[in-house]
Amino acid sequence: MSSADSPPPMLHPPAEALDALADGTLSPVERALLEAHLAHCPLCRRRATPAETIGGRQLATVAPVAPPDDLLDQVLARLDATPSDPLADWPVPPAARDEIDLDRPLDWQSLSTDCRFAELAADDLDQVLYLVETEPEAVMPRHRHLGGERLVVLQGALDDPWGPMMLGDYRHYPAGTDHAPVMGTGVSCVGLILVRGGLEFF
Amino acid sequence: MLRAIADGDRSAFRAFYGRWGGRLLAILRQLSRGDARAEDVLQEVLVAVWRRAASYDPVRGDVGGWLYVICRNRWFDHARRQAREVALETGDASQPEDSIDECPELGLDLEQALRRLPPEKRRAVHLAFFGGLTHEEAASRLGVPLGTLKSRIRLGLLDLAKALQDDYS
Repeated sequence: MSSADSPPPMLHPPAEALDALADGTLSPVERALLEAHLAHCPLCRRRATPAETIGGRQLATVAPVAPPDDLLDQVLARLDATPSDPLADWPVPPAARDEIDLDRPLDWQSLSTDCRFAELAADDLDQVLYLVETEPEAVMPRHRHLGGERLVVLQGALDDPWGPMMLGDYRHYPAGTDHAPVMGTGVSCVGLILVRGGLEFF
Repeated sequence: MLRAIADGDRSAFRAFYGRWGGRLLAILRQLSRGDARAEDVLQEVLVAVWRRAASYDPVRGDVGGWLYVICRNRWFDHARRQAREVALETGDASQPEDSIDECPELGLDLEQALRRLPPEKRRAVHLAFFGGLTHEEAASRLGVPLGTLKSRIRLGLLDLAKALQDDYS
């Protein structure tokens, strides 16, 4: 990893993606990835989107409509019935976990002796969200992003020709790019990756 | 209140519901054009508030904006699921009108700010943001490419947010 005295600037999603997070057009897996970044990035959290500003005003001025008498009881019953969260022991922030809404145990698959991944959810755009864990100082098997990959680091760090990535960093690898990232020292590197069109390992 | 909810305080959650439940249902009724499913989606919104209360950061803005985004995303998730299961009927009388001559659901300041937008941006924002149509539905309704519609919405919302901030500053 870099031995520079000051850490490199944090890597952020584009402003358009953060605007889309608030306008209702993203799928839950896309929102989960952005929420994972926001949980670690006060700079992006501070940037209120137009949709939030307008929607907040609308919510403040709208005339309330009385919900059915038993609606709150139904919600409380749902909270009581919620099974234990399989991501509870992983460094996945609450808002991202809410978007994923996983109701089954993690199904880990090994990529190598020191790298494993679990599929979390998918959407209609052929995008699949994975949780990936790679041991400290290990090298993830080289792979090509057939339709592009977006990554947020949730624990540890990694480095590749695009530069180092730390906790909360977001990066988009365009379709056709490939890499074999090297993990940082100390703790395993855990990340959320959103893959479109699959990966090719070689 | 959200901090207490994040700590698992059910009484805080009940107080939150008393304060916001009716407003959230009103917004969902608008987005769903009066559909009774709005009450189902309200349950999903409230479960989401319980689960993600710890993620609310007051630095980002007021609670209303945070809640509105949850509401909006949950509604469109629901609409997309429904669209997969049931073919959308075209020409449905419950579709929002292109005209904003009658917008009783919007507050006066929002309605006035919306009226000041150029017509193309105004129709895009009215249908796809306040009217609850998906971007695909609104693009089809207006006869413009999806990219054009998204651009008009994005620019229209920026204009609208700026107008509201100017009005209140």
